[in-house]
Formats: sequence, structure tokens, C-alpha cells
Amino acid sequence: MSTILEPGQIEASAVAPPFIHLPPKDLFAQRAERLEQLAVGNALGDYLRLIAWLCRFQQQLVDNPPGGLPVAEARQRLCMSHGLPPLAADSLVREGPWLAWMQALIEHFDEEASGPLAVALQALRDSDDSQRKGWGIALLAGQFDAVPAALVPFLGAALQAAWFSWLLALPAAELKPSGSQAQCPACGSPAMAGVVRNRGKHNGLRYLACSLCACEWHVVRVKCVYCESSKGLRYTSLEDDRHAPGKAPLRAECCPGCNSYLKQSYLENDAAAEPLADDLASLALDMRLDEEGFHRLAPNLMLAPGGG
Amino acid sequence: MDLNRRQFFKVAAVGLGGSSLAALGMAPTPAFAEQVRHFKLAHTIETRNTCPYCSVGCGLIMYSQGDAGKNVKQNIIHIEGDADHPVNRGTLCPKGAGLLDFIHSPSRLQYPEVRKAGSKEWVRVEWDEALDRIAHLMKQDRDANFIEKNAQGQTVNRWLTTGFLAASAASSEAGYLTHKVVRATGMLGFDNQARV
Repeated sequence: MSTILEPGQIEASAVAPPFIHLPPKDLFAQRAERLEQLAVGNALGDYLRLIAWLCRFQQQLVDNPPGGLPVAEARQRLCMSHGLPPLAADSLVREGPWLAWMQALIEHFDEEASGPLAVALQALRDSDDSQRKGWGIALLAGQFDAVPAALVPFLGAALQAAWFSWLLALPAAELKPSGSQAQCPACGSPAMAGVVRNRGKHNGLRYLACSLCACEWHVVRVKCVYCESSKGLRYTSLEDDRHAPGKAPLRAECCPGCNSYLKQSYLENDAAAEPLADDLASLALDMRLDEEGFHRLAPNLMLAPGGG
Repeated sequence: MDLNRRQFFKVAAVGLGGSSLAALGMAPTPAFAEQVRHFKLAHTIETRNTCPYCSVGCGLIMYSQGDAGKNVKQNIIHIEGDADHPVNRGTLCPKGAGLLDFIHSPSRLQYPEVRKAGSKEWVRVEWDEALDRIAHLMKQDRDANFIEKNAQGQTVNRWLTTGFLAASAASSEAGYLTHKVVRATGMLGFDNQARV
């Protein structure tokens, strides 16, 4: 006996791909684990372990948030119906609800630190809200040189934890594409990296991960996210012995049109990849591409790059 | 996006001085920057294409290696369904999934060949020669078998002794042109779909 397919059964393959891929609730714990895994044998191992340590505090903040969603439901709906980011980073960082997360993060540091780390933690403790707010504004505006480099990862951690908590409280499935595909539809921040996913309805699709709230949104592949050109794109990685040609788990999409690049992870080649962790661990690729004359527009809030 | 200079995330190539790594006393050794300078880059190219097999026209992403600009032969290393393509959303049928072997097949026909009547041998010919030969044979056949009028004396302009099989994955425009050209000769046996 044959089965007759009902319209709904085959519809899934014909509709548009899901626009939003929400990160898991334990994102920061997973990130910490991935960082520790990548730290082994990496020239930047110590730094990756420091960020992993910081990620565990971020997870504690998300599990016990020091504040609620600062955006009223009416404003959320208004933003979403107009395709504007409801958690707009440029206004919320000035309104300052994230400072409670910053304070809570600082209070978590009870370990005995020494050296430059202790100095940085002390500088954070000694700063007041207005100073912290100024640093936060500069950091989210991409002015890394206006913030003490040693404090950047701590400020970034508090900002990320706050926005991630708020993202989870949003009806994120209703988010719509904004004008620029390189900017997050939830908070308007620039993308940090791309992920080509490998499972279920997201299989083979590229999502860009937000540098601030970690929201992931769909952007068509094989197209420069900055200038939307699809001509002459090359996917560049550092040659190594562990991966067959074309199987590198992380490649930078280099656009000869606008001379910029965006790193992207292929989950098919490494299912455990996590955008932020893998981005930090592959800093050597950034250094090498800088030498080749390519620009990076994607910030990573856990690192002041120091290139001015 | 506002692409002003300030928004660049520029990594200091020399020793990562001024970065958070240096500021927290965790910069890698100076030798690291020197090492990075000598790392080799591997490039792959991803290209969109359409599956050649049938008229469904599934979207493909083809991965190739080798830099055309540097005089190295490009080599296709992987093919997968294009998840962004509205027709197939990343899926491929078994024939489409085997496309890589189709491309690299040792028995793949790469140039025109002719086996003349009575001969057992296939002989390689140039494209010009092949096209001329096809045109000549078509004209010969059409001159011999073209039906201008039927038994009742009505004009029909039929050419029934030759058929035409055209591309499956052609665009609507190419399909339209093929149709016009072939029908203009009076040919009736004509299919613009290769269900191979």
C-alpha cells in the first residue's frame, strides 16, 4: 500500500532556511571547554586558558543573572516589526543596564592572582561606573585603543554575558534581517565569524555569529558579507599536516573586491568548533592575512588586537 | 556597515605588542611571529553551479583547489548540494551525489569523436570539423527527406528523419533559442530535456 504525502510533509524542504540559530543556554561553559581543548599545544595556550576561566564566570552570570531584560515588550515589538535590533548595542551600552553584570563579574574574582592579571583586576575594582561605561562604549564602537588592553577581555566578558542573557529572554524566532547582513539582527553589533552548520535543517547553511550577544543569523554562502560580491572569493587556511586539502575546519573567506575577510568554521570538518574559541585560537591566520594585505572587520571582544 | 578605519580589527603582526596578550603578560615568544611569517597558506575556492543531469536543476557548491592566477591547474575536490538554493535546499539525488566521480571519470568524453559508417573505430576530431560534419550531414538528410506538402497539397514543411536532443540544465532563454532554431528547420522530433 502506498502512502500519500500530505502537503505539510514535504513543505519543510521548500521553505526558506531558518533565519536565526540560537546558541545553547550553556554556551559559555561549552566555549570554556573548547578553549581548554584548543589551548593544548597552541602558542597562545596561556591566553586561551585565561579566557576559558573567564567564560566559566560568564556562565555563572547567565545562570544567575543580576538583572532582567531592560527592554520593555512594547519596544521589542516595535523594533522587530521595523527590522531594527531590539537589543541595540549602541543605545543600551549608554543606558548602562549591563553595569550590574560588570559589577557581578568583578565580585566573582576571589582567586589570588599575581602579576599583570592582578594589576588588571585591581584596576577594574578601582574603576567606577562612569569609567566602566566609557570603556564599554569605546569597546563596542570598535575603538580598542581607547580601552586599556589588559581590561578588554573583562569588559567584553561582562558585556557578552549581559547581552546573551537578554537574547535568551527575547522571542528571538521573530527577529528579521536588518539592512546590513554583517550586523546582528538582535543587537546590531558586527559579526565575529561565520559557521557553516552540519545538522538537520541548518545543514550546509552559513550563520554569522554576533561578536556581542552570540546570536547566529543566516547569510547566503559564497558571497562576501561586507561588499556582497561573489567574485574571486578564496577560502584560506594555514597549511598543516593534519587536514587533507579542502578539509580545514576553519577558513577565512577572503574577498579580493573589498580586500577584507571573515573567518568561518566548517562544523562538518570539526563538529566541536565554537566561533569565539576557534577565532582566538587561530590568531596566527589573522597575522598571516594581515601580511597579505587583507583587512579584518570582525571584532572579538575578548582580545584587544593591539594593531592600532 | 560603516567601514571607517576605526572599525578595523587589526592584529599587530609584530610580536602582538599592545594586544591584550602582551598587556596580561601572555604574549607568545618573539619566535612565534617570525614562525607565522613563514606559514604557508592553503586556498580553496567555492563556486556555485547547477547539476547537469536533469531539468530539476539542483544547486551545487563545488570546491576546487589550485590557483588559476598562478598557473596551477584547478582541481575539483568536493561537490555538495547548495543549502541556499531554493530548488534542492542542499539535497542531491544519488546521481548528483556522485558528480565528483563523473567529473574525474577516466572514460569521460572530453573531445568530439566520430565513428564513420562501417567503421569500428572512434576517431578524435577537432570541434570545427565536428560541427561542419554535423551541419553537412543534417543538410544532406534534410535536402533528401524534407516534406514540403502533404497528400492534400497543404504546406506542412516537415523534416521527420532527424531528431534533436538539447540540454537539460539550460536557462529559459537558451531553451527558447534552441526551440526557435530547431523548429525553423522543420524538425518535429525534439526534446529539450536529457533524461539520461
